[in-house]
Amino acid sequence: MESTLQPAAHTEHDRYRALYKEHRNPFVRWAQQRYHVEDEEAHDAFQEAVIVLYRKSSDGGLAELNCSVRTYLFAVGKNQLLNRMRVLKKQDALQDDFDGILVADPGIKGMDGQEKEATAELVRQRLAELKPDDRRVLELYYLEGNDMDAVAEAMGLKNRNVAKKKKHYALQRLISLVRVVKMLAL
Amino acid sequence: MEEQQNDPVMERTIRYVENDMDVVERAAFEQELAKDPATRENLAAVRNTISGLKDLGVERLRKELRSADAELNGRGMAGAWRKWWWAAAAVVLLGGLGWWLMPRDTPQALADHYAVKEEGLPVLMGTSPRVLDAIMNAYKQDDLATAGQLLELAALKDPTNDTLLYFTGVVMEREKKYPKAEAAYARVPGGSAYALRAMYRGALCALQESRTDQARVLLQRVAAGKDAQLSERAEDLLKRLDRL
Repeated sequence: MESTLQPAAHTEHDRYRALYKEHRNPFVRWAQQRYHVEDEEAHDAFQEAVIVLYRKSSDGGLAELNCSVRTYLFAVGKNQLLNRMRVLKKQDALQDDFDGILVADPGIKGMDGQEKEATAELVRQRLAELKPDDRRVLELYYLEGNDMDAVAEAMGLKNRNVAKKKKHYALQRLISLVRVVKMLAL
Repeated sequence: MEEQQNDPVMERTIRYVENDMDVVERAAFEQELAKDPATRENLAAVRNTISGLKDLGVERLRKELRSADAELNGRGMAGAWRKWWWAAAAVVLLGGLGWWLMPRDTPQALADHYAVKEEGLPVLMGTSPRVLDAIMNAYKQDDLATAGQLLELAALKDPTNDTLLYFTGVVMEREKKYPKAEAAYARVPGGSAYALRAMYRGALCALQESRTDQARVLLQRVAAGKDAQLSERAEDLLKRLDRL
């Protein structure tokens, strides 16, 4: 079956980009008033907040959200600022306006930063070796965060089940390529 | 089209990681996990790869958010620009002068900047060593002379083999024998899995030889090709060449 390899019309990333554009400036104003931080610091903190929300969504954790997306993003953004200012020993300047909202650590347990980076790099290299439609199905699902219906539509496949099967095959191929390299490295 | 191969064991492991199992199947899998080291090894491989893919997704989103920053900052700057347009105009003029005085791109500098490292093929660890394994072993150990000799010998037996032609080009390129590398890349057939990579590398070799027109022709074909990453690089490089 030939696939058309069209880009997804509206990817999940578009949604997060729109969220970011909608709430960034209000967050920056709020952060500057409360904590007297520079623009750049506030931008970075809010970017991290959107990334945390994205990771939570891709791990199926959005259902646990017990507040509005805006409140959640502000709470995570505030925690990011708090962490940065702790590093700079400025924690006295901070107040806890969003107590009670649980913000998970976005890191993956059991893998340190360096190992994660090395694995991501290895996966990036092997991904480039896959056939274009195998690579595309994995990009649409894992890198762009689309659901199976959107993947099927973007690739011109009959339905989500066909797309899911294709994703499984492509992922198996990628795993075996990554494994070969890891075995050689041992 | 290549036959799609499914490995039911890996398929099941993927479904476990992605929470795509009912309670009974999940419990059975977890029992097996407790007993069988191979299942645990499969699970680690699946988790690592998926985690790597998701990290690449995060990296991509981060870039998109940075470009959203640029848009938002640009919008915010419009007011400031009106207010301080004299100062801004002076900065632009000085910047322009600085740019004019700065050293410009050269074809060779662009070729170096856009070079893509060729990792080589995985070496199989079977009991009967193959010629290609020996070539890849030498290549990965940076023993380009041996890799080149073995490629030459192998090409005598199979002169149209696309893998041999492509890696002959790679070895020649790394030895800075650009015309020979370009000739080897040009012989990789259009239908080969290496075709686009060979064209891209051929274009970089042409740039090293200052033949920008030939490089452009090859890069335009790569840009129109189906390899998204190479296509993006080729388009970017074409834009830089237009500014030479």
